[in-house]
Parts: sequence; structure tokens; C-alpha cells
Amino acid sequence: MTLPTRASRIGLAIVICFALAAIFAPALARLWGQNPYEPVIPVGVIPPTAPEPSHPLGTDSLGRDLLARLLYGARISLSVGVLAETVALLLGLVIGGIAGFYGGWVDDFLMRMTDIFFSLPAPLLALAVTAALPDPATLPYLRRLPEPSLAVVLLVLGFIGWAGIARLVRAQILVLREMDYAAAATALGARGGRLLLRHLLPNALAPVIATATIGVAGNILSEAWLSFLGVGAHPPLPSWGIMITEGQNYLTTHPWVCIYPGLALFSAVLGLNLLGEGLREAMDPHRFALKR
Amino acid sequence: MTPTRRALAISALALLLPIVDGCSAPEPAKPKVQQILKMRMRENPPDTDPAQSADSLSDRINLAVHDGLVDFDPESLAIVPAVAESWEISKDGLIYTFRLHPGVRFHNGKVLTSADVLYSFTRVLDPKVNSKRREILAGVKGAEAFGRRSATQVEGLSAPDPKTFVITLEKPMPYFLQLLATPAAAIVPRDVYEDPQKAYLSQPVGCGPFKVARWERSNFMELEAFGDYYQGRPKLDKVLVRFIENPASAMEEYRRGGLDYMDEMVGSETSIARELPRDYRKAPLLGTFYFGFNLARPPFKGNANLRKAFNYAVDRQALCDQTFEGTLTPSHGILAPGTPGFNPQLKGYDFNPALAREYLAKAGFPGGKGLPAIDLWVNNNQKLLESAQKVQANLKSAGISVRIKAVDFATFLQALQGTPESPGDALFYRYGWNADYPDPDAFLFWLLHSRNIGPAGNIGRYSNPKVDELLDRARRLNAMEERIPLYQEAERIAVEEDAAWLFLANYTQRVLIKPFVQGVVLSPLGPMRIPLDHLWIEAHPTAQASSP
Amino acid sequence: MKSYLLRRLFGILPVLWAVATLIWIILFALPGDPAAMLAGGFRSDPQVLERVRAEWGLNDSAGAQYLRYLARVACGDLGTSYRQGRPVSRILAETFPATAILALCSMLLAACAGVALGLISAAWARRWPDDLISFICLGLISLPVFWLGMMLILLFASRLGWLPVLGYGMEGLRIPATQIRLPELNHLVLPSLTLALFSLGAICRVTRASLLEVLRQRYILSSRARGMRPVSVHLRAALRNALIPVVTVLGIDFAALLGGAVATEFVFAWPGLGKTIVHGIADRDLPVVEGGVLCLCLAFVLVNLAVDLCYALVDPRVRLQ
Repeated sequence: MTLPTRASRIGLAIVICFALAAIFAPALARLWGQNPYEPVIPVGVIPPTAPEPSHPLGTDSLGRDLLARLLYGARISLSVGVLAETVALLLGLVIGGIAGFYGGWVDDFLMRMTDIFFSLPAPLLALAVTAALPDPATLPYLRRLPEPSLAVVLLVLGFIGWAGIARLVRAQILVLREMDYAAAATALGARGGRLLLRHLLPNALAPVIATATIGVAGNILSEAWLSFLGVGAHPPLPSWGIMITEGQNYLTTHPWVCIYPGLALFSAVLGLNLLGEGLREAMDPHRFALKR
Repeated sequence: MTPTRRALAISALALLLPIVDGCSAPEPAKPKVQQILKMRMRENPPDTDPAQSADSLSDRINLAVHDGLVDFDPESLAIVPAVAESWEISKDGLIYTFRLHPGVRFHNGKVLTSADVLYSFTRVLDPKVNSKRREILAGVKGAEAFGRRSATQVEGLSAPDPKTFVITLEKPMPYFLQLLATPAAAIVPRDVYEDPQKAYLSQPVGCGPFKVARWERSNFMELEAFGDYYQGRPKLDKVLVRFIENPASAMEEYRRGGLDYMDEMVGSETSIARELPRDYRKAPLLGTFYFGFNLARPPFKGNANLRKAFNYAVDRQALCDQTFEGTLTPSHGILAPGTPGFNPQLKGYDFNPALAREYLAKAGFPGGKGLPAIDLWVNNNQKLLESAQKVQANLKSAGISVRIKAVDFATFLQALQGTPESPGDALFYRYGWNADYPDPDAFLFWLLHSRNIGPAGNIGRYSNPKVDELLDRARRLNAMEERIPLYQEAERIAVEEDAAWLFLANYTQRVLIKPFVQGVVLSPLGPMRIPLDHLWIEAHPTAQASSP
Repeated sequence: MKSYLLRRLFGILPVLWAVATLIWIILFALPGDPAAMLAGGFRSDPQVLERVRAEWGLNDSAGAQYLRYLARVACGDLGTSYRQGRPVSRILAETFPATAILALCSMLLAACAGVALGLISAAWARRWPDDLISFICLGLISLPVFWLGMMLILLFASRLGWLPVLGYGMEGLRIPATQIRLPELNHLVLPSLTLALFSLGAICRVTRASLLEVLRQRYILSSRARGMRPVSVHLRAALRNALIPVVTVLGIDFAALLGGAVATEFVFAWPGLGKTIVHGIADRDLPVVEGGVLCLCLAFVLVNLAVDLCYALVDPRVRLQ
């Protein structure tokens, strides 16, 4: 499969850049000799300080190197986006798959459930659930994760995001179920769960991947405004959302503190969106009908 | 262009037109020359019933709408007459006799009499009203019995004639007049506040300088000068209080001229002060900022050495200068400078990493070994989180590992307070305290006395019989000179012997006020005490607007 | 048609019940004590706390509280705000219109601009105007709304001084016989522009995709072949059919704007319902949160119903049964 448009190829390039930045963040930051958690400016200087050769993007309100934080932020924001979407994907595939495959009252029940999730105002739901979840540090499995507060954010985002995917998967399964190859698989003895897992879901996955890519972008944005409303990940984690929120207070006096994280967030999300749109178009069966 | 394209382009244009049209906004109306002050408040005041006034937002509105028997002079904090024209205190300090100012009227035109004072004070003590500020009158004789409903009226409150009001106390309280100057001791008209429908919540009626003209709760409150105010009509015609939550937006509105006054600045105050040198004002505030320990739980329970290690590990000066840009001043103890009894000789703790490590070893955790990671609870607020990160870094270099736990305020409160009987979850937390009245009692009694363990104020659950005894004794004495040594000794024990908290800093207050607003006085009790009735606008606001 | 409508309206009830229950459970699980928030924050008298708990029934068992809540809501009583001491329905009547007006305005802006750009995109599919518009649309979707809002404030209010920074205005028209006061027009521009810019992208993309889809259909080709003029083909046949998915997106977007404008309401100090609910969560004013969420949920369901009815109007093939 090739990406159909120039825009989507640009998107892919951006996403790869950010993924590399995220993976090699510690090495890249070490290259500069910077650490995202420690102040790097001399005592007596009031942060934030402006960009200079040793700190190409300046320092933030606690005097920490902004570039180092942005690099680590790529790690955090991208992994929140991807992991939350994975949670949503798993829930959506299971629920949508079951609903579409079994039909009848199961379908009715599960689809009413997605309706309910659709009708709840998502941001407010995220806010309430984030506040309502008990301290992740006391929960049996979450406690062992490196950053429990992030785990909460990504679980909440996944918990909210599954409904759309479930609908899409269900619609796909409804179509695929009637296809010849499904009948062939049934004739060869595939039944129930096996038919669903081995034959239908993998084929339903393609359009879902495009939606999920855009979903990752949406999750990164959601993480940002959860931080804006004060319920995101906990400082001193350098998530882009936290950095923008901290930075907006300095917007008029020290713009770089807010603008660079904003730009990073913007370009990563844009890249993902471009890529997702491209994937979606690549899967469009009518694509070749249009000549360039 | 193919015909198809042209067709689509034309229809696109047709759809875009109304937008272009809609964007030509009307010109902003020119403001008339008027005595109007536009100020920002974070949100709607939650309690316009003065008997419930317990936060700075409610206090600000209630202080504008209501008056009490006495008031603080905004600058010196001396007690000055308000509704009471004069008063006498008996030799034993038990009986207070107030002469009421003649011709005091409420906003509804009714004349204020001592019956209203009796009603208002009884109301604060009434269990049915369930006032949060019951404690201001709890020392009145018979208040206890009335609270238990074993008496139908408060024995110590009486109104012998319409212009005289007498209060009898159980025990002498040298700061009693100061309590009467707090917003909760406002005089309200009986006929309005007896309403079971509580219409007064939407339309407060008082005898203060301003009355509520319009009020849209998520939008603004418009206060209007009260013409019959007994101290003379305020110079301002109107005070427009706008509820703006997001401080960064409010800052832009101030720059643009839509606000004449705001507090709670965000971002770099040094830059703001440089940008608006004539608007930026700073003054001390009677308040203390510290990080508290939960003294009822290990590892802090009974381990003063560990607490001292924390105290030596933190660089207060750097915290105040860098994180807070000088908006906090490092402190060595509890009382804020300017409080009577403030002790400049108190040694407290200076930043000393070597000593910190030494005390950590003495506490049984050499190099931090054996000390579990401790959660530092902070409510979500950028500056507080920054300070927590700073302290976290300091402690880390001393070998103490701390995790920041940012939660919303309600969760924070619950984790801190617990109940009087059992401690809350939080072991280590940021905390702050502002004095309601300028007396050492306003800090030390509430924060250190074992009687107030739990929600009442002593959240750290500090308990030392010696300190309790000193505080009790000081409460019974009348002369300030005799009380001060007792308070200073209590503070010294809590700070130097027990290291009850991680002592950090004292607050200051900073506000932005347009230079054309005259008569501004910043009270050490907080910006909500800026006397609105003394302010006036000097010149045409737009002529001097300091927007860039 | 009538029976369809009745059936749909009846179907709303279980959804409302489920939402009411879900939000109740979430709020019940919320740490933090409403009584402590009511009784004075940092310093509260234990006696006062106890009385507050008794007054609001906060000491009762979870089951009792839930049943009381459900019974109350079933009778249409949304309860009394802990903090403001007045009926939640009054608070909703004050704040919901502000949110709805903002959502409506930004929806109109976004629909006009989005459909227009979508048309242009489709006309020049895969040429530079299409690429440019795609880029702009995706770019707008990729910005955090609160950041976009701040930037618009800085540009149009602070730098250029064309528009007010924030607020709802004090002098807007009052709708007779209601509590509703309209915002001043110039105060409405920036917040609705912020939200519109955000929703515009999706609308544009859907319009484009659906138009391209329709243009491929046989009947379009055949009407072209029969010699119909392209303008009428596009405007009569194609656009009308292409608008169906757009209407769906508009419906979903509108509902999302009702509940999702929280960050915008904060940035622009807009006195709307989203902000009220967020404050309700922060202050543990549970009846306000429950009432507000139910109100938004009802609005969402009704908008969806309206969208379905619109199908019947736009698309002759759709029969409601």
C-alpha cells in the first residue's frame, strides 16, 4: 500500500521524526548535556530565560532546558496518544466485533451502550472519571507502572474513545459476515469466536487503522486540555499539555515557553492527521477512478 | 476552469459571504466619564450570606455590602468605629457596651437598631443557620447553651435600648473587637434575613456602602453606591465585579483596559512589574506558607530529627527568589512580619545540606536509606506545583525521595483534614494560612493547639501540652505586653524544638491597579479589604489607559 | 412518522436512566467530601460539618442516596445546588442558553465555511487548492482549542483591538418573558470563531469526500450525458445528496460543542454550562453536575433525533418507519 497524496507522505515523515525524537530523547538530550527535570540556569537568575546557544529554545519557568523537556515530552505525549488509542481499539474491536457478529439482542444491548457513551459529554466525562479514579499509586497493577498519573490519563481517554471504533467495527463486520470468503471459512469448519477472530476482525482492521491514527492525534490534544483543566499527568513530567498550560501564563512576557511546546504539539498532531487521512484515502476503493 | 468547477466555486462563495459579513464587528462603545471601577474576581462569591462568609471572594462582596459594629483601619489595622459610634469595655474585660451610630439605614430604607444587632449575632450562633463562622461569637456568655438548644436566647447578648448594645463574654478575649470586625459579624436587617425562602441570597441587603444592583452569577455582579450610607455616599458610582476564571485571559483584559483592578497574577511578575510599573503594587500579607507533616503517622510521628532534616534541606531563599520572584519572603517561623509578637530573633532553619544529611542519619535514615518514598500532596495550581518541584529537587539532593501528588482541591482537603479522631491520608503536603485578625492568636491557636486537631485548623495534628498551656494562658490575658512572651515561647517550641512543619515563607500580596484609581490602601489582611468606599477615579480612564 | 417519533422519544428514557446512573456512580466515587467544601475549606468547625452532612443526607447509605436521587430525577426535580442553595433547574436555565447560543453560532460559521471549502476542494480534487485546503483544515483540527483561543485574543483583541477580549457583555438583548439574555454581538465573535475554526475541518473533509462519492454515481453521469447543465447538476442533484453525511457530522459536532466547549468557555470567561459543570465537579456540588450532564445528554439525544428527521427532508430515499 502506498500513500496516495503528497500531504500524507509529509505526515508520515513528521510522525517518523517525532517517533525518533521520542525513542532517542535521552540520547539527544545528553548530546546537549541537558536534563528535563533539573534547573540548568545559575542561581540568582530568574527563569524563564530566553533562547541562547547553550539552550536553543530557552528555559521554562523553573529554569529547565526547554528543548530537553520537549524531547522527553514527545515520549510522553506520543505514548499517551498511542497507548490510549490501543485501549480504545481493544475495547472497540471486542465490543463492535461481538455486536456485529452475533447480532440480535447482544447487538441491541451493546449498541445502546455505545449510544450512551456517545451522548455523554466526553470532556466532562474525562474530567469526572479522572477525578473519581482512586490514587493510581494504590492500585494493584498501575502502581508498578513508571508513571501512574499518566496511566490514569490514558485509561480515561481509552475508556472514552472506544464507542466510535466499536460502531465502525460493527458496521464492517456486518458487511464482511455476508462475504463469500466468510461463507467459505464457515464451510471449512470455522465457527463462532474463531471465525470472528481469525477471519473477520483482521479484514475489518484496515479502515479502523486509519481512524485510530486520527484517534492518536485526538488523544494527544485531549491530554493537552486535560492538563489545561488541571487533571492531566502530574508535574514535573514534561508532557506537552503540561508545558503549554504552564507556558500560557507567560505568553505575553516570555512567549517561547508557550509557543515551542505548542508548535511541537501542533506539528505532531498535524502529522498524525495527515497520515490518517492518507491511509483513509489509500483504502478508498474508488481512489483509482479519479485521475491525477 | 471547467463548468463544474465554476459551479462549485460560485456556490462556495455564496456560502462564505454571510461569514465575511458577520465578521465586521461593531465598534466598541466609547466609555463615558464615570466613577466606575471594573474589577476581576476569579468566580462568583459562593456565600453572600455574611454569616457564612469564609473565603476571600465572599469576604470581598460582603465587606462592600455589609458593615459590622467596628472595622479595621485598612492600613494600621487599628479598630475604628463603624455601625457602633463608640464603645466601653469593663475593667475585667468581660462586658462590651456599644453605642450605635445614629441614622444608620439598611439598603431597604429601614433604620438600624440594636434589635438588628441582637438578631444578627444570635443568627451567627443559631444551629439552624449553621454558620461556618460561629467561632467569632463562641466566647459570648451563653453561646454554648444556645448552640445546644438548651436556651432560647444567648444570655450574653442584650439590647437595652434601640441605640445601645451590650455583649457579655464568658472569659476575657483581648482580640474580641477584632473578631467583630470580620465580615461574618455584619449587621443584617431582621425582616429580610428571617425569610424562609432565603431571598436574601439573591438580593443581599445590608447597611454597607454598596448595594447589589445586578447579579448574573456566572458573569458579573454590579454594585451601586448606597446614597444613604451613614459614613457618606461612596465616591464611586458603581463597582463592576467581573467573574473571570482564566488568569491569562484576565491579564489580557487588564492590559486592554477592560479591568481596572486585578489580583492573582500569573506568569513572570518581574516582567509584569516592569511592563506596568505604575499599576503593580506589592504589600505584606499576614499569612504563612509552609509544607506540613502528618505528625500522627510514621515516619514523621515522634521523629523531630527527620523533620529537622527536611527543614535544613530546603533552600528557602532560592524558592522565594526564583520560583516566586520575591512574592514570598523566606521565614524562620510561623508568625508573619507585622503581626504583633513577630519574633525577629527566632533562629529557625537555614539552608544547610550538610546538617540535613546529619539529621537524616540521626533520624535513623542515613543517606535516606530505609526511608520510603513520601507523597507530597499539592492542589492543582501552577505556582504551587512549581514550588513543590523545587522542594522535591532540594530534598532529593539531601537523599530524601518525594513524589508529587497533584489533586484537585476537594480531594486535597479531604486527604489533609481527616477527622478530629483519625488523621487523613496525606503525610506531607503544602499548606497556607492567612490571619483573619491581626493577633498572634489568629495563627498559633488555630494551627498549633491540640483542641483544633483536624478540620478546625491544626491539620498537622501537632500536640504539645506545653504549647497548649501557653496558648490557653495567653488567651486569658488582656495586656498585649504580657501575652507576647507567651506566644513567642509557644512559637519557639513548635519551631526550634519540635520542627512541627517545614517552615518556608510568608506571603505578600500583589495587585494591579490602574494609576487613575485613587485612594487605594492595601491591608495586611488581604486585597479583599481594599476599602472600596474610599476609592475614586481621578481622570478619564481611556486617557490614561496603560494598555500597550 | 408519528409512531416513529413516539418510539424514538420513548427510547430516550432508558438512555437518560443509564446516563443518570453512570454519572451518579462516578460522582459517588469522587474523592473529596462535599460537606468539607461547604463548611469552610481550610478551617471548618466539626459541628458545622456534621450538620451540613445531615442537611444534605450525605451520611445515608449509598443505596438510599441513589434511590432518593433517582426518585427525584424521575419526578423532574433536579435538586438544589449545595453551594448556591437554589434549584439546579434555575442554574441550568441561566447557563444552558449561553452555551447553546455559542454552539449554534460556531456551528453556523463552521457549516457555511466548511461546506464552501469542501466544495472548492472537491472541484479541484487533488490539485493545489485541494491540497492547500486539506492542509489548512487538518492544521485547524490539530490545534488545542484553548491555545487557539488565546492566540485569537492576542491577535484580534490585544494587538488589533478590534474585538473585546472576553466575556458575554452586559447589555445584550433580553428575550421577553424568559430569563435569557443574549450576548453582545461583538463579544460573541471570538469564542464562536475559535470553536468554528476547530469544527470547520471535519465538515470540510466530509463535504469533499461525500461530494466526490456522489459525483461518481451513475445518475450524475447519466444526467450529464442527457445534457443537463453542470451547474444544475451540482446544485440540484449532487449537492443535495452529498449533504446527507454532512448533516450527520453537523449534528454530532453540534452536540459535541454543547458539552465540549469547556476550554473555550474558560478562556473567554463565557458564562456557559460546561464551565458550571467543571466548577461543580471542583466544588463537589454534585446536584449541579448531575443536572448539567443530564441536560447536555438530553440535548444530544434530541439533536440526533432532529438529524434523523432531517434525513427524511434532505434525502427522498429515506423513509422513517
